Amino acid sequence: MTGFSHDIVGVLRAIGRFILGGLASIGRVVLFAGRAVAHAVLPPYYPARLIEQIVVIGWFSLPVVGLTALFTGAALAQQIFIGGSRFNAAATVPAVTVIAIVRELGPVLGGLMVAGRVSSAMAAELGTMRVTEQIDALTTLRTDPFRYLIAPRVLAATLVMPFLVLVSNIIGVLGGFVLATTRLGFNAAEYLNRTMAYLKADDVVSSLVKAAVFGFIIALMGCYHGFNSNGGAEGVGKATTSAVVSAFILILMANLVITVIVFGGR
Amino acid sequence: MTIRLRGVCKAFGAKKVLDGVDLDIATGESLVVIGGSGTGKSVLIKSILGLLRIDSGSIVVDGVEVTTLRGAALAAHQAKFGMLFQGGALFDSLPVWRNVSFALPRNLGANRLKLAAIDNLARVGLGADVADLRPSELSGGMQKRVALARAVAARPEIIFFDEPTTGLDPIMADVINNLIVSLVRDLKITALTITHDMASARKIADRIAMLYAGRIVWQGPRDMIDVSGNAYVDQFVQGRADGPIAIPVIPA
Repeated sequence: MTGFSHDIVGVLRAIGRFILGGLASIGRVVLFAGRAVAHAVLPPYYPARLIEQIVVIGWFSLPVVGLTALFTGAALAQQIFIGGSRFNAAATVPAVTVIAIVRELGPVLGGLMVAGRVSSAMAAELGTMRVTEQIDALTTLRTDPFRYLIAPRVLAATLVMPFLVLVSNIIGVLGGFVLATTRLGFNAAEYLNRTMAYLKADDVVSSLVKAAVFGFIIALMGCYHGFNSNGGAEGVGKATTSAVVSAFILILMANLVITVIVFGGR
Repeated sequence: MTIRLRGVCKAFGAKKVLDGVDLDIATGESLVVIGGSGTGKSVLIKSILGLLRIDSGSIVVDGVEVTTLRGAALAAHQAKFGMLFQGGALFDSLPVWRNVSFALPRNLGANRLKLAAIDNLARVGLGADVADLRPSELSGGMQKRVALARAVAARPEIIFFDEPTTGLDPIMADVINNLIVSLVRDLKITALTITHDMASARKIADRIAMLYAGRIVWQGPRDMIDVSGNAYVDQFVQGRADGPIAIPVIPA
């Protein structure tokens, strides 16, 4: 074999290894997700753990999600006003703001903010439990770690994200409303009327479906990377980073897929 | 409750950790496995527990082949064991009494679980005043004792001690050794301890086995450890750098 063909084989081998490694990782995540869903659905349940996670994920994420939505809604209204003024379309501020917030920015920005807060915390906590043998200890204490640690987190995040995004949507629209009525000269009643006129049920439903899917992804990535971490403090650090990065990418991918499915045919 | 291992092999990548381990533990016996760091002692007990899957060989506990168990059958097998982990592995988000009573039925209710935890804490010489503390508020020795109380709280049939005296001063190590001896004797538990602490091995063991290069290179009664006639055991027991166990050291 010549040196050139040897190099080609080496490159192809590396590509093959990369693809096989990627497929194996996807397979492991899918199996993990299936196991998480099965354990969330089947008894025994840990209601106290579920409530604890709902509080940790939902209640404690409210400030960051609310502030994100408030500032984004206000900035969006300002930008739409500036852009719309060039085409004599400044009056579209309420309609475009509500559609942009409810369809995209509320769930996506809310999902990314919660992913940054929750996926990292889950990965760090479970990763630390893994390297300090607390997860092995659960097994010797007649407790299934998957049922005790993973199922409540995945279930809580999936249930609570739609409520967070609902609040985020309301605050986002409110941010646009406040800016438009205080700085851009909009009449408050007129703004609200236009907002409600352009908001459709499909927008709200798709927003909440996205939120539930994002919640599942956030908990899944945090739990998967934390549960499978190894190598001490460095391993926990890597797990935390991987959890956040993979959650971000999967949220953006899932958002595109849901958007195309729900709105792509119109 | 007997344990029988035959030809147990386990590798991580290219590294063979267990390479044909044969070992028997009789009912009510206290066996101590000694060996240097990284010789596969922890892998051995995690394999018996079913926390790690072995590559080949047989592990039979009380007549049941462990390596083929899955799901509920594996969980039932694991419920027979208690384990004291090297670092304690206490749940730092829970108070001491929740840790100790963790394996007890939840339907007992919080009051009875707490009383049971306090009873078990008394077994390891700790008062009720520590019950409401967090593990992070305890010293290393106290954490070890809490972990010991947790390991025996559900009255397991077999208990594993993973380096029970690591990180403790000699006096606290002896306290832990005494507690292990009395708990194993009083509760009539089969015990497997892994350690490189010879003082601990001499105190806890009925029988001692030595693990080296993935195999059991010697086993016999505790009193034979100093006259084993095995060069590996002699080097380990005497703590000599020179001998058949070569530790590669790159010169500075």
